[in-house]
Amino acid sequence: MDRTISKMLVVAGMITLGTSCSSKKPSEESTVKLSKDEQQFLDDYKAEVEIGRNMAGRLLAFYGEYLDPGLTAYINKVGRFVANNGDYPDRRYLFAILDSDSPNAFACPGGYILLTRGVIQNAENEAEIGAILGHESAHVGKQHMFKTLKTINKADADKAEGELASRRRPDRYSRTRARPIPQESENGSALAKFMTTASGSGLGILQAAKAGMSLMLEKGLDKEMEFEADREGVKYAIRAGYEPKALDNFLARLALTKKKNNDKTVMDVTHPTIPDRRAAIAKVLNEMGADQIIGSVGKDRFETAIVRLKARKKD
Amino acid sequence: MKNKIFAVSSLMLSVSSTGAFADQMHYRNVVTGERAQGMAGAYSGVSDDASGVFYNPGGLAFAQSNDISGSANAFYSKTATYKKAIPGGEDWKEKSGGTFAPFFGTMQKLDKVYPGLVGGFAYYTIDTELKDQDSLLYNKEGIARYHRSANQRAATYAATAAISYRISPSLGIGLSIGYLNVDELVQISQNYTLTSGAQYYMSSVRESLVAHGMQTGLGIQWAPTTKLVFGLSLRTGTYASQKYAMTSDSLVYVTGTSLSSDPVVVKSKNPLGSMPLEVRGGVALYASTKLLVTTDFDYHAEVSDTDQQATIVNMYTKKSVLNYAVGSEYYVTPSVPVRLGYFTNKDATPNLKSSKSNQPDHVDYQGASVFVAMAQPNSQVSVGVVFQKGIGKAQKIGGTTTMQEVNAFAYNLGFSATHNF
Repeated sequence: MDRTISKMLVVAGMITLGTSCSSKKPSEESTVKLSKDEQQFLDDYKAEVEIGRNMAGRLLAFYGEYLDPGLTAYINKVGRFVANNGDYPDRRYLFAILDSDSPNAFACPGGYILLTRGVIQNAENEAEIGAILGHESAHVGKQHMFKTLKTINKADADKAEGELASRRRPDRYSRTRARPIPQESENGSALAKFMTTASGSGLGILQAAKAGMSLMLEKGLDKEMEFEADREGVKYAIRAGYEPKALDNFLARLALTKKKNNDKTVMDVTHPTIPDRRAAIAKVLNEMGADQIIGSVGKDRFETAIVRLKARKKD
Repeated sequence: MKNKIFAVSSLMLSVSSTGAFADQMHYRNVVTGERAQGMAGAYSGVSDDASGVFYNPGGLAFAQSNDISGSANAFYSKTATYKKAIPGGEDWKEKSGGTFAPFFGTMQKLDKVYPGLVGGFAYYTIDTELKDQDSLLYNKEGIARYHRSANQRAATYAATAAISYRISPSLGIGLSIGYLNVDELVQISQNYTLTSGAQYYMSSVRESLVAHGMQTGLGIQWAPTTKLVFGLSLRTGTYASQKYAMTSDSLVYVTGTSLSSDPVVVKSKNPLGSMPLEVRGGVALYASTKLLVTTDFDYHAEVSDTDQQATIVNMYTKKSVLNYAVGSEYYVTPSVPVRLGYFTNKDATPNLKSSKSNQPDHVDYQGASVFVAMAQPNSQVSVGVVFQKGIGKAQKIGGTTTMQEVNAFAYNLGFSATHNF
């Protein structure tokens, strides 16, 4: 068991202890002493979950949720199976489907993973979904978003927030009417600061979540983080027993569809180009000797799960 | 002495016949809406939140986000002072006050149904009055003891739905349809005893008014430039039913003789007449992201088709009224907007004529609003006050042509919140 997992267990124990002992007096709470590192880790984890939950809520509000309990349960099963075969099985992962045709997926800190209906509609089998969810769980496990947010200072966050807000305003008439973007109240900031001081991010929960939204919808993460998530996601999916070339197949089909429709989506702005991603994936598959691996495609189970979605498409 | 008895008894009768009801004769007693309230209701050029259902449904088309807005129980207080109305030269005061929920509204962008479509719903109080006044006077100009007990509850409210569509980036149009309800009840009992002997007078009056109606509105908002927006809305309607009833009973006891008669009963099915046409227009200047300046007028047409069968019923006859409002909003910080406004609230009652008696009060008001809000990323809370000062004339002594000066002061403490989603 490596150091990270042992830290996780300490954190889990502390959270449980904190919850169950919340009504006790301070003198009774100090039975477990945390080292400075453990306290830092605990504070980071709390901040990560709070920021991720806030971001997930915003994404759900922005796109709306696609309500198909059977399909959502299926996505959660596949996603957790792949994540459990990844490098961070002790993390918690929650998956939901966004009501958008545009193919994209979002990994919020703390394990909140949201993929659009468009991803599922563009996929042909479970292996492709598994590889995409592997990519997102790699983002979560490697804390790509959270680490990026920790490097953003308040001025950058304000700028990003302004850019995000302006992106949502459809025209100049509405822009003129828009009121100044409010700040958190002092109490809210104090609370957020208290919750995140140890994380070193210097941002409140709300501000961090907004900066995260700007990254997700406008700027994207560092390109190398995306390449890493592709590499790791493919590995996790292969470990889970899926067809190695599933992600590559999905991206190839997506490129064809986009070329045919001549459309540009959020994913084009926030991710490296599809040819670059495919080249990087080919390299890792080559290194792994993927040609020799026969994985499961999971076509039948996938087709059963998307029956309602297909029926909707016909409408 | 007979004259004195007449004067006092007339005073008592006049209380019920000259505007004791909730104020059907002023159109801006309650300034509604979370943001609009702070700008004194100068909002037809803005109207891009739930209160646009009331001010100008055309403005809803410019909504920035979905929102739900409400005003918590607001406290209001009103005092009207009738100068030298009491025999002997003292002033007579009428007070009312209480809490009410002035506004609740929600607005939803319906782009998924049809791009550019916005729907809204609002419940708003147009007028309210709660009175519970007990007055006791001793030794006034031959009157040994005078006791008056007045109770009143009255409310006029509306529930309205609106739909708005953005025809072009600079033009929005909206329609509204709503239900209007008027429900008022006044009960006044009075008695006095004279100092000169065993003489006393008692009376009780009960008035009720219930009316239901439908209102429809059409609004348009046009922005010739990004910073300048014109708004115009029309609203009219019709009462589906009106029911007025007044019962007056009295007893006079003079030197061993008790004089009483059957109660006087007046009923009407058309006390309010038709619903006046309302035209509201205004301009909003978005001077900067921090500063907004607005101005409005609203015109209510004359209503002359009220029931003419009895003078006491005819009190709702209204002349046309033109009111103005100006408002401004300034963001001191991105989280703290301050709103100020000035408005007029003129009386639709015809001006008093020196040759007539038993005429209803005529009081013209001017008002101001001061509100400060605390804005959060998805919500806003506003607190502040709207106050009005009025001057006018009244005939508190019934049966005579004597007039009194009236000074009135009213304030409304508001607490509102809006949540965007």
